[in-house]
Amino acid sequence: MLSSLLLKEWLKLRIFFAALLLLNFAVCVKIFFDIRQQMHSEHAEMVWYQVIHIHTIPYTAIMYMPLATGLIFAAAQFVPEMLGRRMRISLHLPTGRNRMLVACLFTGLLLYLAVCCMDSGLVFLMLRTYFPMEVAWSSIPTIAPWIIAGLLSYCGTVTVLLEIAWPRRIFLLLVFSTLCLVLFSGTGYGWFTPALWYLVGLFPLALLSVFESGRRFQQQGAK
Amino acid sequence: MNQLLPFISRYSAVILAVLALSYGLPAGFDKVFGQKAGNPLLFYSPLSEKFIYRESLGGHRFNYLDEDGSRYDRPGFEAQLPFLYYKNLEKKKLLPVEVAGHRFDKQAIKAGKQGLEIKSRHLDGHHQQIELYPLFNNDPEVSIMPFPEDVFRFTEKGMEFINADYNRIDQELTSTFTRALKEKGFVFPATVIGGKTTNLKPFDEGFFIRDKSGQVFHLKRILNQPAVSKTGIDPTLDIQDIIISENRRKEFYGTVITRTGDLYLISYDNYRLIPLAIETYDPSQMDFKLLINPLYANAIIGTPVMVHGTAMDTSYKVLCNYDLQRLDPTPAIIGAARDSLFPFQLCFENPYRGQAAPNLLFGGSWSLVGIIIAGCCFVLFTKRKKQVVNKGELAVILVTGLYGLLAISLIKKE
Repeated sequence: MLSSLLLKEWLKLRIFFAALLLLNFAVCVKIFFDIRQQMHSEHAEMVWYQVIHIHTIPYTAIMYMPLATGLIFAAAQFVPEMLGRRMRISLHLPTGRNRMLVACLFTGLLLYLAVCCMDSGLVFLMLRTYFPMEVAWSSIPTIAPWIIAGLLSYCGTVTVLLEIAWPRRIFLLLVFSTLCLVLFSGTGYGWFTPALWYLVGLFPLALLSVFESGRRFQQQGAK
Repeated sequence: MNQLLPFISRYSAVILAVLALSYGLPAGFDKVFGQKAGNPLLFYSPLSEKFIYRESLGGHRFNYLDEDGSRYDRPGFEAQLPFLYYKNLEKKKLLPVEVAGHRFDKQAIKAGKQGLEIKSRHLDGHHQQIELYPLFNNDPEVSIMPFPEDVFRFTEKGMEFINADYNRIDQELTSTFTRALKEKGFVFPATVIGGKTTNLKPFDEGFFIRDKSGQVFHLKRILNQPAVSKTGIDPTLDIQDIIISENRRKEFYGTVITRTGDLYLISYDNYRLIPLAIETYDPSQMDFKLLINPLYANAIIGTPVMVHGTAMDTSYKVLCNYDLQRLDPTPAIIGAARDSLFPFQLCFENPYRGQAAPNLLFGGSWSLVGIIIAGCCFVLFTKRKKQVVNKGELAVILVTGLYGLLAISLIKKE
């Protein structure tokens, strides 16, 4: 049953996965050509100075991509289920509600993380090509909060979509929006480094809160 | 697990809601009701030999006062500080000016002035910094200061130069500089690296580098060759950072700051350290400013509630101190309302850090009143609906006040 659920989610997401992979790749390619152009048009040492000492981030084009990716994956998985209340059919499958939700979330998050790994890896390689290793490493803690924002946007969208009561839906939307907003504050590379582990802690809380909306949907909404 | 999951799941959402509310609501409140005053400007007047200051009342309104409480208008305030506002005096053709029996023309004032500002958020360990630095090449025949085509880093084995054009280690420069440092007794790696990384300075004094054994070395690059001096600065000093500030007065290279808050100027006189007796300075949470004029040196340190001024003579002997309380233009009732509504605030920004500093800022005694009101509201609403008060939910509200009340009420248990 579990493999069938995973297959169902994969079939639902594969087009979106391919499109998002391509879109994220295109943004990375743009960043590569931007850096290359800057290196050729300006003195390389001045570009290094801007990046190392002025804290200019040459890969800000990728900043909101994880957030958008998380949102699109969640919407692609759950909007069709909620339209026409098709989710009720899934809840009648011979498997538990939580098990079914785990399968959905596992598929969505796995594909989301695959896209984010590609983004981080490509940015790291691009920076390694034109900058010293220290600059390439600094991209990891810089991108990490944006990836966590994407995880929150994914879990938040699922939670809000599964929620049945409008006041609670709006409140949860505000809560997840605020948390995502926090993750885009600060300036320069590695701004969130001292707080990174606290931010990582938001993900399990966001993931667990999906199950409360799932429970409420089955008990009250799927009648 | 199936019985426990709804509980864990609901409280996860409640915790997220409390975190989001404690971040967003106080920030929104401050945006609407908060009034910010600019930093007060505190100086030592060489005419009255008193501290004189300008404090902001908010909305472009200022008080001009001295330490005795005498009021000034703006021209009167500026007249008390002839070394600071000498350009006004020049326009009014009032130069040269006589101060303490000496006459000062424009050149004399300019030659005797120097300013140095050290913000806590720029100190080593208070912000993210990739440890790669440009070492400017001093060429006496070139008037401008071009950026070097390489940056250096310190490793366990030596001083490495990386060429920016090829993104490769420059072996020749690396071995030349590493050898020169080793010959002077440098023990790798470096523990503190201090230098000004911009070319917006009158000349270059290179870097002051503390080695593994605590010795401080002065390193310059002259015609692409190393010039290394062992400074003899006390190796037992627990140096947090070295701030270099090139100035044409050439009295000192910059400032040494220790982790215990001691401040020293590194003199051009054979690297002799000049102690600055600023006892209340704490580099972890205070900014420091040193304003030098032809007659006095004026040290200012700022905290969120106080500004502390120290007047010194030209040999940095303390003459007098003055503490100025910062003015908070926010009405007391707004402060009380804020504390009542928000028992704590989740904050990531800190004015003394150049990176995130996660912190919970707790409100004052009014917060307790707010928490009790939130708890009472919860009990009353619950009883009105003829429901039993859940002790766990009440406990959440008694810890988190309004945040908990909103979270528990909107993420209800059915």
